[in-house]
Amino acid sequence: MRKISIIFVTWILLALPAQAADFNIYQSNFTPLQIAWQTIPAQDGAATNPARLIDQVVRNDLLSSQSFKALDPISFLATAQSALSKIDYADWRIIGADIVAVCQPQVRPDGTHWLLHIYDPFRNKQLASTDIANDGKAPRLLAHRIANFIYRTVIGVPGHFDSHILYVHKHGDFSDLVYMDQDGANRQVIGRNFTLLLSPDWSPNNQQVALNTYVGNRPRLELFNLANGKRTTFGHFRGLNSTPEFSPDGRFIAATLSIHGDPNIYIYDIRKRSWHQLTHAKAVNTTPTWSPDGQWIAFTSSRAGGNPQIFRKNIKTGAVLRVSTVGNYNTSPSWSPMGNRIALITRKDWSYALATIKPDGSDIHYLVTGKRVESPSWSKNGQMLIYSADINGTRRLYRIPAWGGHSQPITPANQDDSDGVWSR
Amino acid sequence: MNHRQQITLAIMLAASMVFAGCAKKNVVNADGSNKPIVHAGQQMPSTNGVAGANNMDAVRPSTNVIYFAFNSSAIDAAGRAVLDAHAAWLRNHPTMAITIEGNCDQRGSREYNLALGQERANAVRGHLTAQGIASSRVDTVSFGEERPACTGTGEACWAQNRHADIVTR
Repeated sequence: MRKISIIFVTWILLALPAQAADFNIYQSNFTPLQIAWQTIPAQDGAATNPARLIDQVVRNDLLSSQSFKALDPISFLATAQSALSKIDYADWRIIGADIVAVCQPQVRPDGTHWLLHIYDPFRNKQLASTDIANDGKAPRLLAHRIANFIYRTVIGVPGHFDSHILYVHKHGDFSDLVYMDQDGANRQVIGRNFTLLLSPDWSPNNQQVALNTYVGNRPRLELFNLANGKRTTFGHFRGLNSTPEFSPDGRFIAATLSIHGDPNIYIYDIRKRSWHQLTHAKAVNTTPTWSPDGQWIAFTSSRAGGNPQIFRKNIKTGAVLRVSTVGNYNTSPSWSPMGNRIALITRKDWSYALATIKPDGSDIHYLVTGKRVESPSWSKNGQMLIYSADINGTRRLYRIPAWGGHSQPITPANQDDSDGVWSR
Repeated sequence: MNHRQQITLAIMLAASMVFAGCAKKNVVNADGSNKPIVHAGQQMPSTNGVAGANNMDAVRPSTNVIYFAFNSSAIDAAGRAVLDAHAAWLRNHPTMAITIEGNCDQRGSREYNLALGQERANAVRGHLTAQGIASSRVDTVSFGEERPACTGTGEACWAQNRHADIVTR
C-alpha cells in the first residue's frame, strides 16, 4: 500500500526556500490512496443539505491527512448509488480507485441514519460497513466521525478528525487564546487580552488548559477551565513559571520553575496541590514532555556544554539519558502519543527545522525547515504535527504528516499565531 | 567638514539620542521625579568609577543594560563594569530594591529563550549578591524573546535584544 513517491519528494525540494539547504527532508515511501468518495442524497431528498456539507467535510478531512487523494466524481464509470446496491469492482479498478467509500442518509422513525460502505476494488472485497445514527450532533461532527471511520478502516489507526486545536493569537501587547476544530472551522476566541500567553496545553480529558501568562510583569501558571472560562493560578513562584504539560493520566503537570536558582523541571500534583523537583542541574532545564506511559519526561537542557540538547529522565528510577545527538541546538521536545518518536526543533547552520527522532535519539527525520519554526504538537493518533513558523513576516500555524508530506497553513495569513496545541 | 561627514555626525548624534532614550526609559529616579539622569559623555561607567562601600557620593549609574552573546548568560567586562557601579550605588542606597529583566533575541525556541532570559537575570543577580547586595533586594523576571527592543533581523538588531535591564522597583 505504501509505494515510493517521487512526485512528493520533488514537490518538497521545489518548495524549499533557498537558504534552507542542508536538511535532508524525510519522506516515507507512502503514496496517497486514491479514494472514490461520495455522499448520495437521501431518497426523499429530506437530508440533502447536510449530505452536501458532510460530503465536503469528509473529503477535506481525508485530503488534509495527505493519506488520500480524492477522485473527481465526474470520472466515475458507475454511479455511487450502484456501489451501494451491487458494486462491480472492475468499474472502479479501471479508474484507479484504491478505495470506494459511499455514504447515504436514511430517514427512519428514530431519526436519520448514515449508511457507510467501504470497498477495496483491487481485492474485490468490502472492507467495512456501518450505520452512524445522527444523534442530534452537528453535521460537521457527524462528518468527522464518518471520516474517522474511513481512516481507521483503510489506514488502520484511529482518525483525528474530530479533534480540536488551541493556539495563541498575538495582537499588539496582548494575546488571545483561540479554539478551533482541527480543520479550522468553529474558530473562536475563548480567552481575551492576556499580557503574554505561552505554552497552552490540554488536559487529557480536554476540559482544562494549563498555560503560562504574565500578571503585573510576573509570570504565572494557570489552569483555564474550557467550560466556564475560570482561571486558577497553580504556579506563582519567584522567577520563572513556564511550559506546563499535563501527564497522560491527568494527575500531574510538569513545568519549569527557577525558584531555587537555575530553571529546572518540577512536577505539580493537581489533587494534593504540591510541587516536587524532578531535575537538579546547574543549567537551563525546560520544556518537559511526558512519555505516553507516564514513566519518562523528556526536556531541553544546557547541562552538556551550554548548548540546548534533549534529555529524558525516568520519574521512578531517576535515570537520565541523553536523547538528541545530532546538531548543537535541539529544543522543544514533544513526545508522540504513540510513544515511538519525539518531535523537536533542531538547528543546522542557523536554519531551524522540525524533526522527529526515536526516544533513543536515533533515526532523525527532518520534516520542514523555515524561519522561527517552533512549538511542535502531535495529533492524538500520532499521524500529524502542527507547528508555527514565520514565512512572510508573521507567525502562522501549519500542519504536516509526521511521516513526511508537505506543510499546509491552518490559520489565516498576516496574523501573529503561535503555540498551537492539539487536543488529546 | 564635508557634506558626508556632516551626515555621518548627524546620524551618530541621532543614534546616541536614541540609545540615551532607551537607557533612560526604564529608570525611575529615587525621589520619583522624572528628571533626566542620562547626560552626554556619561554613557558607560568605568571600573574606576566603582567607588566602594564607603563612598557616599556614588552616583546612580547612567547605564542599566547588560548585553550578552548568543545563547549565553556570561557577563563580559563591560557588563561587570556596569554591575559594579550598580552594586556601589545599591550599597549606598540600602532602601532601594531592583528587578532584573532578562531578554533574548528571537532566534531559537520561544520556551527555551524564556529560560535563557531567566539565566541572564540570575547571572546579574549573582554578580550583585556576590558584592554584598542582599538577594531580597534583587528580584528577577524573564521576558524571553517576547519584548524585543528591536524587531528586525540581523546581528545588529539581535544584539540589542540580548540584554538584562536593571529596573528600580
